[in-house]
This record gives sequence, structure tokens and C-alpha cells, in this order.
Amino acid sequence: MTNEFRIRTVDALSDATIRKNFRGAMDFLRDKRSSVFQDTDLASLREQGAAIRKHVIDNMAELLKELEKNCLRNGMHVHWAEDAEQARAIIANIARASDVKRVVKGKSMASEEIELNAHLESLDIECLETDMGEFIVQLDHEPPSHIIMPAIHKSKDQIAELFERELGEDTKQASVDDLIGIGRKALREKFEHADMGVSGVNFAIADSGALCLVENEGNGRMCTSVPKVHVALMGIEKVLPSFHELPTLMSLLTGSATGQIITTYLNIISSPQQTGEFDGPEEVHLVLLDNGRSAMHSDEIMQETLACIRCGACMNHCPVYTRIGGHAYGSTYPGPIGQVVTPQIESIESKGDLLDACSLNGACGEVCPVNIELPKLIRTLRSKQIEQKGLQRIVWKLWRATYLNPATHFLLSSLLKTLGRLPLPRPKAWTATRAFPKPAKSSFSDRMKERQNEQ
Amino acid sequence: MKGTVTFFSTCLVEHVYPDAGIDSVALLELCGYQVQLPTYQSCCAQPAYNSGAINDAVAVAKTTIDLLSKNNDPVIVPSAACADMIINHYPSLLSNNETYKAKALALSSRCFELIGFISDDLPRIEKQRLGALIYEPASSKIMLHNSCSARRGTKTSSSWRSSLEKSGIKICEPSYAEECCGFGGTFAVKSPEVSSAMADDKCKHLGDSHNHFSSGDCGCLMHLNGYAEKQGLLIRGEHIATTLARQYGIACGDNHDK
Repeated sequence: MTNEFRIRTVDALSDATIRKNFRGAMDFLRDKRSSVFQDTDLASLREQGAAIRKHVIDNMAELLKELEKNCLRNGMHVHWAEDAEQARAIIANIARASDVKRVVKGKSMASEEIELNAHLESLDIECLETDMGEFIVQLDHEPPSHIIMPAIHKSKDQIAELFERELGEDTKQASVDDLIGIGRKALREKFEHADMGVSGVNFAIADSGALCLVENEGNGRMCTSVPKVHVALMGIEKVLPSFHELPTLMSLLTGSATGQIITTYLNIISSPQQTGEFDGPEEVHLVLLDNGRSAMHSDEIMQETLACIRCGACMNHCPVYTRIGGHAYGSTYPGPIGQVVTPQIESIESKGDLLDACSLNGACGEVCPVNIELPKLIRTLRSKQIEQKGLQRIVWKLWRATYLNPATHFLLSSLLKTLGRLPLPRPKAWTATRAFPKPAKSSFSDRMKERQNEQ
Repeated sequence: MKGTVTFFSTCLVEHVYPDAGIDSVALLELCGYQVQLPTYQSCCAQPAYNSGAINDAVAVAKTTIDLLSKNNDPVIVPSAACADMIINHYPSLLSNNETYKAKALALSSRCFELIGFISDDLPRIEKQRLGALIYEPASSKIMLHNSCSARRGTKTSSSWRSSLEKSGIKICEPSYAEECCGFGGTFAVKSPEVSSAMADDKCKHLGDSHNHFSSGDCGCLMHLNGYAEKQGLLIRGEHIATTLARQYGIACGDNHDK
């Protein structure tokens, strides 16, 4: 691991609050998930989900063209962004054209991916997160630590202290509900004066030109209906052929993410305000973000990454994520899916070290609602990464030479018995916390020979 | 005699846990199999495969495939991770080579994790007969560490349970039984801090009520025993073949802490 990532990992491991908050939260989310799917034939539901996502990957270009055509027909504007910079520029231009001063945002990981807030703020546009978790981390100048639960690393007391400090409220006796009330009051005032709403997209329906957005707080509906301009930002993989596929993926998404049968809100946005309607935005813009996704699509194995519906179950069940939390990864997407996505949208050179923090135990693959073989993808990325690691390649060449030649193998085995018991230096990475395994006095094969002679 | 089986001993049984190997062979014999050992056993290649050194993994896997394809006998592996490698990963690892792909598929279909293979054949020890057998009463209750490879790879965790129960042992499972012990091959040295934090939790959960546990994965055993020894914890693990062999009175020796 690079020093940076390793330092963050060690810091997180030694932070008792982080350890406790994540362990507690992940236990809670794991239990919620398993109880919601208790009476479901989950295996076949996941297979259906995987088949739908595979169909999307196999027909992505056509589906996106169809989506564009139908969104335009419905009166939306459609923009294509090749990378984060283009996406930021497109959204900044939309804001400029409508003289936008205040933006309210619904939860969107794609907007985190393109670092939209910082960009809009550099243009003197106020950018307010309205999802309660996102609001909390924004107030504390932090990035989200989880893709579904952005403030999951914080305890109730830490949030109370933050609200007292930043919002000037007396929170000494505040319950969780009181704290949410305080947050909501602060947000309410902002909604009224916002000129533009930004949201993500959970699923975009190609044959209808409609955008689906799930949420629990109603803030998403406010962001997409109150301001006069609505900008929806979506990764191009979020497209679905039709509404027929939606129920399967919705059940998988909400059940896997928060253990809910259904979310409190399901917003379906199909056009700007129509004649005769009393509310809704005057303009709806859909920004289709590539940012490395086409490159993933062109790799036969790695294109499976695009099946992801961003439920977060892989991180909830990951023993590494559970212990180090989301911030340690230093990437927009943490946990197993983050280890797979990040080196692909940035580069293996800069983010490949994330791949080290995986024991390939398979817990993520076991819960992925669309059966993404995350361990296989991590292994595949490691095979691309090792091309750049000269020393590791030499080590494996030596290993190979040892095992390929019975004579070397035999010689080394006999040496191991003697050398292994001598006080020679051992790899510190192992021995710092673990005793080095002692080779047996006589090997299994030798013992078997003795055993046969005795019989 | 039920027939001959080939025993693929694995690197760790060969060099670190020979007792577990001998006990595995004794159990196979108890179940009516004749055990053969191929000479010059190699590695299953999982360490290289999981580290991304695919070409090196392919080269070594081919050697092992050749070694284990000299006859059509079942191949028995006393460690779930290596069994998982041969059963579930060889076919895709060798998918670019038609000859070896076919060989890998054939091998995959006749390769078994030890306990998964013998669990049906193991005789049930009836409660009233327990008194007649030589065994330590203390070992009649044991913590079971189900490895990730057994749970998610070879899918033989239920055989581990049923075999231990058949042999008269009451199994306790630790909390967070489904969570990784932190070994993960090179993960243990590439991310030693996270790996150790995971080992620490696992030792705590396993040591909750007993000081020893049983597992059919040598990687987990090496990691957890190494961690416990260095940290001065009392908990120690032994191979499930040894636990079972002791119950049947055929263990090669009391090999704790060896």
C-alpha cells in the first residue's frame, strides 16, 4: 500500500469511535437486509436482476440513444459529458444561463464523483446538500463515508455537537428526532429560495424518457420540483429498457441498501412543468456522465462493473470496510465496489493500491443484488496492476520456478526444515503481529513413508 | 474397500501441519478408501492467482493438473482454500488453453474438499458408545471456525458441522462466524494492520467460551494461531481432521501448538 492509504488505514483502525460506529452501523444494516429478504426467493430475484443488468450492458448504446430521443420528446434537455470536467462545465453553463445563485442538491454520488459542489462554489454559487446525511457531512466539511449513508461514521453525540457549533442550536438534550427536526428547519428555508435543483438518477427508463429517483426524506422531491431548473446527473449505466424492469431492481436496491421493502418516496420525472400544471421546474436537464464508463464497457471482463446499482451492500458486508470506514479509502466510492470502480475511473497507477485492502473472502459477491463477481473483478484488476510492479513480478517468477521443477521444490523443501528453524530474519509485515509458522521436523511426505514402512 | 483416492496434501499440510495430513489419511482409511500420494506434489497456485500473477499461476496450475490427472480417482484436498482453487477457479484460469481447460474441468468434477467428501461415510458415534472410546471429555465441545473458502467456495461448511456432530462433538459457533479471519494470503502482508485487526476480532469471538477451535482451512489456522501466539492469547486452533480422528481414536498424536 502507498503510505497515504496505509496511514489513513492505520489511523482509522486506531480510532475507537470509528471502529465502534462502523461496526454498529454495519451490523444494523446487515440485519435489516437479511430480515427484509427473509421470505423472498432471493437467489432467483438476484438472477433476474443480473439478467436485466446484463441486457443493459449488452445494449447500452442503443438504450442510451432511445433514452435521449424520448427525453427530448418529453421536453427535457439532454447533455453528454465525457469526463468530470465536461460535466462540471455543462452544469455550470446551465446555472449561468438562468442566473442561478443558490443550488439545492438531492443525494447524488455521481455529483461527488465530479466534485460538483467545489466547482459551483468557486463560481460563487451556493450549493446546499439536502439529504440529511449529506447535509451533516457538508456542514462538517467532510466527504461522505458511505454511498447510501453519508454520515454513518458519526454518532448521535457528534452530530449534536456539530449542530450546536454550526447551527447555533441548543442540542444538549436533543434526541435523534430533535436533531433531524433541527436539520430540517435549516433546510426548509433554503428550499424556498433555491434557483436550481441538482439530483442523481437511480434508473432512467429508455422507452419512456423518464427518470426514477428513490429517497426517504422528501428532499429529493423538493429539489426536483421547487426550483425552476432541475439538473439530473446520471452515470450512463443507470439506463433501463422500460418500466417492466423497474420493480425487480427496485426491490433489490431498497432491500439490499437499507432493508426496506420500498422507500418512502419514488419520484418519476418525465418532463418539465406542462401547461395547466401548478408546479414543477420550467427546465429539466439530463446530464449523461461517461467518466471512464465506456472504457469499462470495452473490457469484456470489467464491463460487469457497470451492472452495479449502487446499493452499498458490498461495503456493508465487507470486513475491511467495517473496520476502516469509508474515508480511509480516499475515493468517492469506498468498499469493494469502490476498489473496483476507482482504479478504472482514475487510474491503476494512482489508485491501484486500494486493491491490496481485500482478503478475497467473498462476502461482497455473496450479497451483491445483481450478482456482480466482485472478487473476480478485484483479482482481474490486480493482474493489470502487477504489470507495473517489478519486484512483485520477480517474486512470483521465483515462486513459479520453485514449483515447476520437482528437483528445486524437493531441495527447497528439505532446506525449509533446517532453515525454517534457524533464527533468520522474517518478513516484518507478518511477524509484527503474528508468530512465524514453524516448519514441521519431518514433512508430511516423509511421515507417510515412515507410516507405510510401519504398516 | 470403496476404492482408491488421490490425496493432494497442499503446501501447508506438507510443511507445517503434517499431523493434519496423517489424520486426514487415517479418516479416509476409516471410511474405506485406499489413499495414494502422487510424488512431487506442487502448489495449487492460489497465492499467485489471487495476487494477479496470472501467467505464473497458469504455469504452476498446469503442473498440478498433470500431476492429478494420471488416473481418474477422486482427488481429496485437506484445505478448503486449495480445494476451492482447483474446483472453482482452475476451469476459468485455464480457459484460454483448450487442452488444459478440458483437463481442468475433468479434475474439477472429481476433486473434493476432505470433509465434504467423507462426511456421509463417517460412522456415527452413538452417545451410549462414547464411554468405550478414548477421547478427552474436554474436546467433546468445540468452537468451529468455518473458513470463507468452505462457506462460499467449496460450500462444505455444513459437512464440517455434520461430521463433527456425528463424531459426538457439540459445536459452538462464534459470533460473526461468517466474517473473514483476516488471512487472505498476501493480504496478510500487504495490509497487515487490517488483517491483524480482523484476526484480533476473530480470536476474541472464537475464544469467547473455549480455548480451542477446529477448522478445515490451513491458511486460517496458520494465521490465527500465529496471531494468538504472538499476542499471548490462549486460543489455539487445530485441523478438523485431527479433531475428528481423535474422536474416532485414530489421531496420530496430540498435536496442539505444534
